[in-house]
Amino acid sequence: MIKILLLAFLLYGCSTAEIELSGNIANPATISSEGRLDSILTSYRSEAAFLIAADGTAAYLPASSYPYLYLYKSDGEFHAQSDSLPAFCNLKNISEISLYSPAPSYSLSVLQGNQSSEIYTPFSARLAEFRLLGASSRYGNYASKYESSSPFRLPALEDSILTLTNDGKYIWYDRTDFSHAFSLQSNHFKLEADTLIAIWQNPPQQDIFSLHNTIDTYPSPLLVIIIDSYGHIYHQHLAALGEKNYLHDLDVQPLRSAYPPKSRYNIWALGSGDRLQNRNEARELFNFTTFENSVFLGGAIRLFAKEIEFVSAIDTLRYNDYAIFRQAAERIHSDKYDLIFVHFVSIDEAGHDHGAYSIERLEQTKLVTSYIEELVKLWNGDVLFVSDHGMHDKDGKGTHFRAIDEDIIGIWGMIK
Amino acid sequence: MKMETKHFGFIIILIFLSASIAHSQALVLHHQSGSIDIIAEDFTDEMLTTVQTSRILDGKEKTELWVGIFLEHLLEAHTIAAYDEIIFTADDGYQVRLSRQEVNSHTCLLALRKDNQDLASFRLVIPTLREMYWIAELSYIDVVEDTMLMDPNILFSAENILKSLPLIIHPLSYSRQKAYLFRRLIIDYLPYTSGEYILKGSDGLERRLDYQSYLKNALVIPHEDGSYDLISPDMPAGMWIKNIAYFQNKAHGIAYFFPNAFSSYEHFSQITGLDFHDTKTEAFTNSGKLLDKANDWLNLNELKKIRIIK
Repeated sequence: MIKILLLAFLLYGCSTAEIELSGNIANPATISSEGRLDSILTSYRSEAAFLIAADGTAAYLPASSYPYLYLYKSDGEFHAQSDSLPAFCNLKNISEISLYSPAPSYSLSVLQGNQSSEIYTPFSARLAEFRLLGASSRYGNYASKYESSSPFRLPALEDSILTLTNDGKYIWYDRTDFSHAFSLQSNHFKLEADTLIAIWQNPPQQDIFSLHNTIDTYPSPLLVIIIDSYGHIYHQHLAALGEKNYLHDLDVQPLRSAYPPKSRYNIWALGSGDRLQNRNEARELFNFTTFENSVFLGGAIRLFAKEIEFVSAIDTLRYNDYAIFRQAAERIHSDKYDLIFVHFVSIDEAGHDHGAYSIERLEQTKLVTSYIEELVKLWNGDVLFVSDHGMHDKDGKGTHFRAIDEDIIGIWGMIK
Repeated sequence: MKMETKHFGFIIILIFLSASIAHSQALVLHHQSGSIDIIAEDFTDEMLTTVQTSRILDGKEKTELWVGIFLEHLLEAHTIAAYDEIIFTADDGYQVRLSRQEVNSHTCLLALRKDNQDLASFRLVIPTLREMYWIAELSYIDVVEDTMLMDPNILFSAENILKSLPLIIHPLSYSRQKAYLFRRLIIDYLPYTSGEYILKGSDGLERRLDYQSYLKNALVIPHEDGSYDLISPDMPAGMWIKNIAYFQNKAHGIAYFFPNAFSSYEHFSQITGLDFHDTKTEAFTNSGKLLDKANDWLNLNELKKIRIIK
């Protein structure tokens, strides 16, 4: 009996108290060891931590305060102790620490299509579940005190919402069904069994998948011009700068890109009408049966089946859109083709090299849009122009992979 | 994650007591013009009030009778009318902060006696709020005209970020003026965007604006002379900030500065309240170079980010 009691006591005393780690981290984790907060969190790059106690009180600490907080176990629970931080940081029975990192593994964009999107991270959403009581400092170390308030809720949504999950699936929901299916998880936002990354309110009517059918059923010869990375936000930016180009004279409409907003995924969508994530190696891409002679010029994206003549050699050099333009002009003059794809990539290249809003990209845009204008004049038929995605700037270099307005809204239009 | 809510009922019985308070409970009331020692003996019987509270403890309703002075009466007695927040601190450092709005919407009693027993010290009793607000051993009341602003530990050059953002046509202008969205300036750099911001103009004008009410749709307008204005369709033109120089979310230590808004390093220090001469900093330049100090005004324009190290 004594042994049993002793064992029970030992089990209780050494119970595996754990703190859940959540927020902007790649994978949920737990803390089970005592120590200084900076040592405990050393393998997690974070700029702030939000410590949450079981009673609903919480403290927000910038990373500079981590060395002053000690986590210890007592009676099977984790507590915090500090002599150098405001007294409210001495939380009892800590159940969770949510970490802020400026580069979250998962985020949720509420897209409006006009740069006014809100971006929520698991950290910011968890923090929104608490009410700020105030900030305080001790020995120059600041912290903020919070108390539990109400569960995270997205702002008022439209009656009908288009959702995007991280496997590239777009699904419409009505508001009520969405609210039942949506939840905040430890390090991501969940929609039924999937990870939700974006919600579109009033999304662009056209998406790149359905342009496949537009081409496939087009009743007359068609020139398709793909302008890599020329997003709708960039198009508007040029107008605001007073740097209008040939495209500004046309009816340019926003286009919903495939996710991730990268060329490979979007060229696949244009060529198949489906997601690259659903890839079937046997599938015939760019197999537009209504056309007799087709050619794809440019683009080093090797996705193509044999049914279309694919001229990629001209694209082995960078900034080589002039060669693509020349090849396209030759094909048009030959009068042999009833479907020509022309993929200009140098606006994308200039953005990656010099920045999404750089002078170099602006100059390259002027050049490429002048080629487009020339080809439209040469082509005796209708023209579909489309961009595969947009681009945003990160530390002076252009990049595009996020579910944000700049990246995921391309353009399209018809010239008849 | 969801907190259980306890329900309190309370009855205020306005009885002007004749009974005296036996012990000399004391606290310090601090406000802008100084500190006042408050001791129980100072209160006349007319100032004391009895409040009855009832709360559910261990499944049973417990009724308690508190005798003390209403906070608003104490403030009135010392002619304290203007404040934004009151911070209550206990002997052990426990703090509760109440905004002016909260103080006005709840009954706050500084209790000296409970169920006819003298308390050892003041206790804050707010019948309509949870027990976590009922501070025992209350020793310090700080009446502040402004909530504490966290010192910045990272400063970003706003101009540097704006260079990497798209422009839009200014939606409030008929002259097709160009503008940046304020939210785009902050959204990738702050842990959260909500809350109150301190914004300062080059002329020292300071505004405190809530993100949801005023800044969510704000625009940053660039001018040819390198200055920027902050405007918003959600605020009258009189609240717009000409030649914005600095802003910070109050609740965390990330701030933004506009180098072109400052005429000198002294001007920068005056507006921001920061002086790098006595502070250890790391500074990152546009070209990615790391400087161990950011105290040279000549390079402030070249800086992308300054990290202040304690």
